[in-house]
Amino acid sequence: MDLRFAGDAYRAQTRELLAGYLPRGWLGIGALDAAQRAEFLPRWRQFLVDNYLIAPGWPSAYGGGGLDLTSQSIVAEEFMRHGVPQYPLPNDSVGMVLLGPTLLHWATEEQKSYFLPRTISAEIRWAQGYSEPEAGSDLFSLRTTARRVGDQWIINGQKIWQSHGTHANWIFALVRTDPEAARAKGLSFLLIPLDQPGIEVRPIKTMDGGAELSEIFFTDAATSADNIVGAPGQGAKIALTLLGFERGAGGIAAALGAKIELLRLRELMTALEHTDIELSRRLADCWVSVHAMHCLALRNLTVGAQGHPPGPESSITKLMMSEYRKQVTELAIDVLGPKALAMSGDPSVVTLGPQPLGLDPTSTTAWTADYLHARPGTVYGGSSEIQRNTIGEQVLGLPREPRTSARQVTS
Amino acid sequence: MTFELNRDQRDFAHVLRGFFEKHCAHDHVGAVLDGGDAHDTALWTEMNRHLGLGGLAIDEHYGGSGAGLVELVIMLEEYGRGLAPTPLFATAGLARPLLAGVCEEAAQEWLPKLADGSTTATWAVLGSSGEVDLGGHDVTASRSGSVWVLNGCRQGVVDGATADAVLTVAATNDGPAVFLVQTPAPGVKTVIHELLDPSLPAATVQFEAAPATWLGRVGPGVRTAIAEATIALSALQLGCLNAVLDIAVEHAKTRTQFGRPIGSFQAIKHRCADMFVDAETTRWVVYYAAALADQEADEMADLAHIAHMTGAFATAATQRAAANLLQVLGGIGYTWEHPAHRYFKRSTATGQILGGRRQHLDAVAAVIGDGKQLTDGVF
Repeated sequence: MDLRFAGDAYRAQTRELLAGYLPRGWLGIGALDAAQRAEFLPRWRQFLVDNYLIAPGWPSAYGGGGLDLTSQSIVAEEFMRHGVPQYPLPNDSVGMVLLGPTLLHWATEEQKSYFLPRTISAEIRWAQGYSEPEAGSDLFSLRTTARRVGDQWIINGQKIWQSHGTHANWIFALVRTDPEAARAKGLSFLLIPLDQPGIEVRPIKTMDGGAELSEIFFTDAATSADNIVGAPGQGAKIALTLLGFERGAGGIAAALGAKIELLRLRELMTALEHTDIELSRRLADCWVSVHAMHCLALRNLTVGAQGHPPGPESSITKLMMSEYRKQVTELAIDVLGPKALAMSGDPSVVTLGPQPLGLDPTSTTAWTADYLHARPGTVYGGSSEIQRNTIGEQVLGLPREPRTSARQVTS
Repeated sequence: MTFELNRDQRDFAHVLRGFFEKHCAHDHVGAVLDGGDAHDTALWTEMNRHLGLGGLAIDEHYGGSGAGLVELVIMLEEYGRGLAPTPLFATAGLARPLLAGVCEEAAQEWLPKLADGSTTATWAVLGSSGEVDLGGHDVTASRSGSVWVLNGCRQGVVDGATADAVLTVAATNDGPAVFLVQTPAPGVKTVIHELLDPSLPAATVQFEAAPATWLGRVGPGVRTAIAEATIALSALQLGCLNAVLDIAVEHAKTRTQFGRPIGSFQAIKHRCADMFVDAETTRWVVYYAAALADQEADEMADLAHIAHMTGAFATAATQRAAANLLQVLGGIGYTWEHPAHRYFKRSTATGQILGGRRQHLDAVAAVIGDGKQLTDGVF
């Protein structure tokens, strides 16, 4: 066991780079108002692109940084420590964290050379097309179809729950290409441009009053026959790989972010002159949970750095972090008390994660928004119930729940 | 950064797993404990003579193997899994770090006796409030001529009725200090109660002008010792947690109701999944603490903080999992015959013997926001 980071030289290098770029007295992105942020983010994004840090783990041939997993983790951690976002634009994390690694694993050389540099430049901004109104946790029952007509795929159906779908101009979608094949065997993974007549993107207004989600309707929409990733019928397998990447790198930075949030919550408690021992203990309990997530992240980094892809064990991280987000934001509401009912202060920024460094810790608007944003975390990306099924069946080897066939339901 | 057991450590764990499976079959452990014996003395002899477990984490120049805390955690994890009725935890987990940390003379005199298994020892650590007492609030020491005598009472002393040496902190005119009482001795009275967890026999120890040896003042070495003892207790809990998970999963796979294994029902499957999350997370929390202790023994403040977090997490996780086990088992889990009750009671007892979870949380709360919490590697 060696808990010291071998990449300390790289950490110093990253800090030096940040110190050279960020203005004197920089407090973190949360300290900027909306206008300052709108000016800062594109500039910061270009700085990341110029320094090969927007996709630090991708091969340099595609504009990535070519960094190993440990160095990527250090970059993410130092960004978090300095209060600068790794993914400045709304669709960046969809492209960089979800689709990018999937393309690197499954796509052809032509697909990689075309899509990866354009994702880095933000010429292509991705949405995710998995869920449908009738296919949530039962994802592989999805109905959106794609038919091969000449040198094109023709797509019909509906996808839902895209994060920042209204900002996207491409979608990666899981579609049914073989209606005869059983469930998952008939699915394929397509890349589809959104700027075309057969596509309608509608925003969905969410609980917090914003509209970061969308639904997308496909009516004889088309994509080139070349834009299939893997072979027809391999879609389910590719989709599962992608869900694994969703829980891959960035764990240590996430734990640090959670820790920064707790220090801000402590500041709020001080500002409100809380002396309640029960609230202090709940805060400490959150701190202990964050420490546990840090330990798990170190473990995942060790396993990942040895070249093992994320396995079903990665469900633990998703389960813990999403359940924790509810625990900590519920505490924040109890700390605020009746102040939570009438919101005041600067809002948080959804795409920059909870409570970005620099944000006023006494902003009730930000805490209540984070409280609401914590709710869907145990639903999207595989609900907590699905994570527990995965652990129970794939890790512990418990038998699957018997499936009810369509015939049984109708009879 | 590599956060994993190396090959030697994995081999060691494997050997211990086999050893305790062989010697601690549930029927055997039940027979020893139900028969009223505090310990399986034949097993204790075997553990020392063949595996040298008592001396594992004792420096080589005191006759031990010189292994680190990671190895100690491996040992206590497997020992805890087996519920082995022997004084290993009290001797190697509690008394050893105190003797090693309080003063050189104490280490020289006592550690070799612990290392060869000839002497068992314990640390009477709890105050009457149920919290760790490093201030000597419930025991006082005074000089009577050339010898020290202790007066006062300690509760919840693991192996307090059987240990050859009882260590405790007592108040002196010069501040709190660590004392050693050899037992049996005049002035030392142990009260053995009916025990919730007979596999971790806790006694009340009364000192009435009990002759004692002054070992040293309470300082950084003693505070490191209590942190190490807390990590050792968490290792014991980790072993309990692993056993509990395995029993639950095995039952969920084989018990049939409504015509199918109950583990196929999500209600049961999800409890098992939660137990796995608790076991896997606790595992890395405990090994993190042990690795940190091996690495930065001088970083005392950090170690104390890490130990409190470890204790808080492991206690809650183990108790959740043990409660889940009983629910997964149904009626059979409530019987004396099934081993589940022994693990359930172990999970309860380990939540108290080094102070409760609240004490850990209050210590953590005191550290949050002291301005030193955004340092590089250490949480």
